[in-house]
Amino acid sequence: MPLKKVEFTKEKVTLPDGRYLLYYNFNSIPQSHIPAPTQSDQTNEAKEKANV
Amino acid sequence: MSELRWHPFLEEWVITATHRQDRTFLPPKDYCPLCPTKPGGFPTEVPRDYYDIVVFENKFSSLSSNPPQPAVPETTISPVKAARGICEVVLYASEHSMTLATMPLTRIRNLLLVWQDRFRELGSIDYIKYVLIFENKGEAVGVTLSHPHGQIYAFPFIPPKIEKELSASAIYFKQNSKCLFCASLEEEYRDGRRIVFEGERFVAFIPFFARYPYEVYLAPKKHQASLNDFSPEDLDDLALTLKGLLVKYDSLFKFSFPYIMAIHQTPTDGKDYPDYHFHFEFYPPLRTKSKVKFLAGCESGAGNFINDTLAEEKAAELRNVGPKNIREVLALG
Repeated sequence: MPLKKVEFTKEKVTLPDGRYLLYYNFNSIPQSHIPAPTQSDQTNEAKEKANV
Repeated sequence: MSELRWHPFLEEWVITATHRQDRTFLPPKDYCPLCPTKPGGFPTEVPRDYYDIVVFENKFSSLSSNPPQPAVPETTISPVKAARGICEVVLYASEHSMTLATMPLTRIRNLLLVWQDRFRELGSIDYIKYVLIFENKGEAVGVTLSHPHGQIYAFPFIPPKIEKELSASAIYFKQNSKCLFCASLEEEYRDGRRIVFEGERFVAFIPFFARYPYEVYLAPKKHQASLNDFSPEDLDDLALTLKGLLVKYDSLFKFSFPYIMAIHQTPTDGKDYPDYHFHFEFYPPLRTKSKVKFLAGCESGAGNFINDTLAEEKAAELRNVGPKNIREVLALG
């Protein structure tokens, strides 16, 4: 699944005729939108793996 | 006028809701009441000009948290009650032309979170005994608004079909110390011919005893009873499996496939139902590309379904179109 993290907020408003309405607002970060690792990130990761 | 009238022969409540006759019927796309309200445009149900997912109380509600007193007195054989409950509309997206099948996986996953939240919130209300989440899709099943949306009925009683399933599950569990649905899944895996699509944790299949040609159950492989039981990883896989099935449906006849979708899960009446198994049920009205399966004499008159097709053949048709596995669903985005 391409999701890294999903959070939502819920905002309740009252419509003119008295009914409620809920806005669900999402803060989702699709993995495809997460920047690909840079060369220095990869180097750091390699170093960590090598326990350098 | 709205009230509950007791059907003494079937021993179930009938909801009368005469105001629903006046609800909006297939408006032109430019006057959709479920689209966001555009600046300077006509006011729709949603005052803002964009939304992620919206839930609101149905304007033409069959059940109400503050219902009117019944307009008719009870009879000697039929009690009458106020139609207390809550009916909500869930708008899946701002975009008018989307469907659940064409939505990105992230949005389907978000919708699952909304359903989970509504199940918890409505189910926590003391007089709500059952929360039914459902979607009617397509004019063939009587949809009056084409904007992508579903509905939620929070009932003050357990609906009759659910009661019947609960009873069958409890009896089977008592006799076999095992969940009836789990036993059904074992049978489906043993045979294999009716399985339509499979995720890691969920599976979609045409049940052995299907009543509609393209009827599908979608369920967790392990025993889970309600949306409350699902972890984030479960919801990830449910979104994939659900999209996989829906894209298959749309691929079958190469048009947006009509269906009724209902989520069956445990009641919210405070009791435990350890023998009940969460599942989606899909009842598509089509039996071929251009023919509708009508509920005619035998179905409506006697309650017995006649299925003109073999579940094994229809499952093969669905299996052979659209995405074959979750990797192909992921590629769709």
